[in-house]
Amino acid sequence: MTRRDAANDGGPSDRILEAALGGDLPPEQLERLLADPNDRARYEEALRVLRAVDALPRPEPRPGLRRGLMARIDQEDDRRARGFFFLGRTAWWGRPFTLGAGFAVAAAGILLLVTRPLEVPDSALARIERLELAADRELYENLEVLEHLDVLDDLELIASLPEESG
Amino acid sequence: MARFVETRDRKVFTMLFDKYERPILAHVRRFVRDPALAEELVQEVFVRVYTTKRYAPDHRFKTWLYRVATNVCLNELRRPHHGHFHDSLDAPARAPELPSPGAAPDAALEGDELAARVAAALERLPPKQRAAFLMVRHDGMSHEEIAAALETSVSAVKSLIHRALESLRRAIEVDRDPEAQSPRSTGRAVP
Repeated sequence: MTRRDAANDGGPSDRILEAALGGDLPPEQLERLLADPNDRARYEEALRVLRAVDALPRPEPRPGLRRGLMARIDQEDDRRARGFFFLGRTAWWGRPFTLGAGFAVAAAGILLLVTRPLEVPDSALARIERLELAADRELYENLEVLEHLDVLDDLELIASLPEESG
Repeated sequence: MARFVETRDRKVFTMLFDKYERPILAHVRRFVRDPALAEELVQEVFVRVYTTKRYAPDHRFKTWLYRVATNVCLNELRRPHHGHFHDSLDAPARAPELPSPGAAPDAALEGDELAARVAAALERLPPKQRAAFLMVRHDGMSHEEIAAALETSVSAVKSLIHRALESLRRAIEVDRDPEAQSPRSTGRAVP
């Protein structure tokens, strides 16, 4: 195995890089680890690379970045404002107005259910009253018919009718 | 941040943007080379912050923000028009032009040359390796924070950082001693 192949095998090469990255080895352990001049050179090279990385310039934002973002945020606010007045920024279950309206509708429904007139079962007395009314009505209609008859002829006709057809 | 999600106060949002604008831009540039596209993605990250309804403070805000940024970048890299640019998030990126390996007459020039070589070697790293490595070196983040931001394990983060440093060290070594690497891997013409 070459030295390069050994880089990720958890062997001494690995520990050298870890030492360079972490830097938390006690000095005496580090010295033991770097006893070999090749290992020491590798360690020092890793440190140089890390120093060079740390010194690299960071990208600077252009002024347009902030302006562009704020324009997008404004658009986002406009988009929201165009929606229903209560369909705003938070979830529907978090909006007091929606909650209040929901409770009101539910309460009205329950009230309607509770106060609905109940269907009372037909009582015997009511049935008798209805039958009496019906009998009275029949009597009245018969009287009306009799009033409009041609008295003599029709009375004779009625008298001649058989008893069962009546 | 939790206060911002409750109040949607523009001032709080502006404060968050001022604090994290540069680190997030740097983080996005680790995935995307094009500066204009990177700034567009930074805007996308902060618009997501502004419109989020699901911020759960199980991690620090910084970690959560980096995770949002990472996801925005990875989504961008997975889009079809990026196919030619990065074959895989774990594969090395296309190698940029290296400075010519001419002799450095003095120490300052040698330092500049080393910086240029390190920068070029960083560009050749796979995006996730580069991101993990620079998150620890430039942003001072812990392995745990990086793991949460990249949605991976702590051991995977350690491995990414380790491999990144080894790749950089080898790249510098090869640049100094071109015969140490085969002509195919260096991409240089054989006379």
